[in-house]
Amino acid sequence: MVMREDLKKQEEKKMKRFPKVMALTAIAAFVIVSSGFAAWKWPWQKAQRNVLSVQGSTTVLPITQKAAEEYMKINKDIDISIRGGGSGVGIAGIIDGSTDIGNSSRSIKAREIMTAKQKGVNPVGTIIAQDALAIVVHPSNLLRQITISQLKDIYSGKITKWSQLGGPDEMIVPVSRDTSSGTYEIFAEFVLKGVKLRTDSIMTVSNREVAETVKNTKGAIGYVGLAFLSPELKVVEVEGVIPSNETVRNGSYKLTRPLLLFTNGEPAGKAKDYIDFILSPAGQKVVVDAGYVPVK
Amino acid sequence: MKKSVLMAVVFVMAFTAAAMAEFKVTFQGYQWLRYEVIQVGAKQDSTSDRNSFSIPRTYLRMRAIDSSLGIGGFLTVDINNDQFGQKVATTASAGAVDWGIWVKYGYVDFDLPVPEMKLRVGLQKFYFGSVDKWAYPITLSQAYADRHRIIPSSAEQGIALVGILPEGWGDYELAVYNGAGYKKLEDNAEKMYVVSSTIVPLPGLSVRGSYLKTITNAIDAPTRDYSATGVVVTYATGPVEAWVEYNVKKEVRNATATNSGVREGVIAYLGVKLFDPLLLSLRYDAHNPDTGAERDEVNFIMAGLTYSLSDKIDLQFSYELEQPKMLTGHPNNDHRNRFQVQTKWSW
Repeated sequence: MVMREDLKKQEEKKMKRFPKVMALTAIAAFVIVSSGFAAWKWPWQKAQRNVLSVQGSTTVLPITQKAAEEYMKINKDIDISIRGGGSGVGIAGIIDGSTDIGNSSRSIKAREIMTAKQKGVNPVGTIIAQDALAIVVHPSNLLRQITISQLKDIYSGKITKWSQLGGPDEMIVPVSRDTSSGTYEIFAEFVLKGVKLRTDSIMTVSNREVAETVKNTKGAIGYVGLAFLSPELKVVEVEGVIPSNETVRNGSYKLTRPLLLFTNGEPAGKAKDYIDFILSPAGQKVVVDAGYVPVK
Repeated sequence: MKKSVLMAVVFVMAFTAAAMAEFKVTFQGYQWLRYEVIQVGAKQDSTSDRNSFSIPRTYLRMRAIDSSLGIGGFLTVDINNDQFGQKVATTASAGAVDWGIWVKYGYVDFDLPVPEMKLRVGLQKFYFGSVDKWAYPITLSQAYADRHRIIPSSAEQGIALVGILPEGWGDYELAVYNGAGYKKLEDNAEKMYVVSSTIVPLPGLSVRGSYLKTITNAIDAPTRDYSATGVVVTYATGPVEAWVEYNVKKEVRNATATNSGVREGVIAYLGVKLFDPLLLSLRYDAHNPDTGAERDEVNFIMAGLTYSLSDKIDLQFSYELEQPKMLTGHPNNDHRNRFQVQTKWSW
């Protein structure tokens, strides 16, 4: 009787231990087995066609679109599809695998990196060009230079008249991009730094509209990408530096942002070929023609 | 603090902020339409077997965010319609009702000076184990800690610091909850601390640890102090996602207690995307409600197929086998089969 009870207790102990043993075995099994899934393709998946999908930032779109046209002239068996949607859409496409290349006009956020890594995606960005925000004023304005602190005070409402900056006693008319745009995000990051945009700013939906509004409004000040400068706009120095290809590339001009193409891991295959083309002299000419600063 | 006062404070803060700020408001939601068949034991038993149509969940969501101010308000209303009722304590002699409507989530986020850190105030998710991450690929099962009462509820009122670690190394949540849940009357008798963090050391591999501890309150009605721990290890690559979770809850017992006060469980999940719109999900739960008792464990084997008809509509098939491990002849020893067909649509 005593032996039967001992055996019964031993069996019950084994049963209690079973879930823990099972858990450890399951962990080991998952790690070993799934390590082979990295390049897994199910047998029933369609054979991969020569299609490359690119989507994301509308700022990067002109570069990737023109580069794709030039690339496909040389590589006639490749079909590249280009779509916009914004930097967030481009990065999300890399994470969920719906696109081969994600365009972005901003750095990837920590939350996006975490989400990507949790799904087994390693987002790697390749800088293909630089963009800068130029500060522009009405052609009649005598202002030559401005500091980032003064810009912040203008756009937050602390400075309301040009006389506060040594100019005539006239009201400042601030022109801004809508808060959902990547251009505004960069302006907010580098200039506003958490301060609320003044509510009487003229809000516009495109760089072109900013340029037109500033050109035609006395007392106006605005910010546009380098690609949208024209002789009819007056560009002012920021922290003593005028925006140009040279000052953007050497980092002396502060209001700059990289334009990136994101891939899952280091670029490979068709994606690498396409990105290498954009970084080639022919591709960097496309960057210059689009109004951005080449990296090479 | 009474639930109604806390909610009033949250809404006053939200409306005040709205008056001062420019909110971007979005509305969204989703609904589950379900048919379920339950069969208990080897033979058909009309007293236990049943089948039913229900609308077990309708979520109506509103978000109002002003990024320049760093404030966001979030509201989710949960409407439940189920023939066999919900255990809702609407009165002292509460019974089941066919439908109910609750505020599931109602909270305000405040951006803090630390990058990616927010202060979250109000009725919010319970950050423990897989509870706040479970996306219902198998319709029958909640997260283990929610289903088997390791935690009081999947949504709780409280204050939390939530954030993302630098460079996306993971996330963290530190919360104080009042323990009342969102479906029963306020009693504020089981306040608790919860600390959770997910670390992602490598692409595809993440480890999440959670710890919960109640706070003794001698003034209120007698509470049952307890602590709980949860660990989740996840690996994802290509079309495959797999995770294993371990939960344990330890209640403080007195000399007259008749059980050990320790319950634990192990969960294993495997999700495989067979091809783009079709996901196969498998899950195994080993549930031990009392580690000091003999032969009281229950195993659950679940399988589900989710077919995404579009990015807004999913069709789901789920099956669950509940296997009690009691001795033959025990009144609760019958196994239970559950089949579900469900449509989830969102807007």
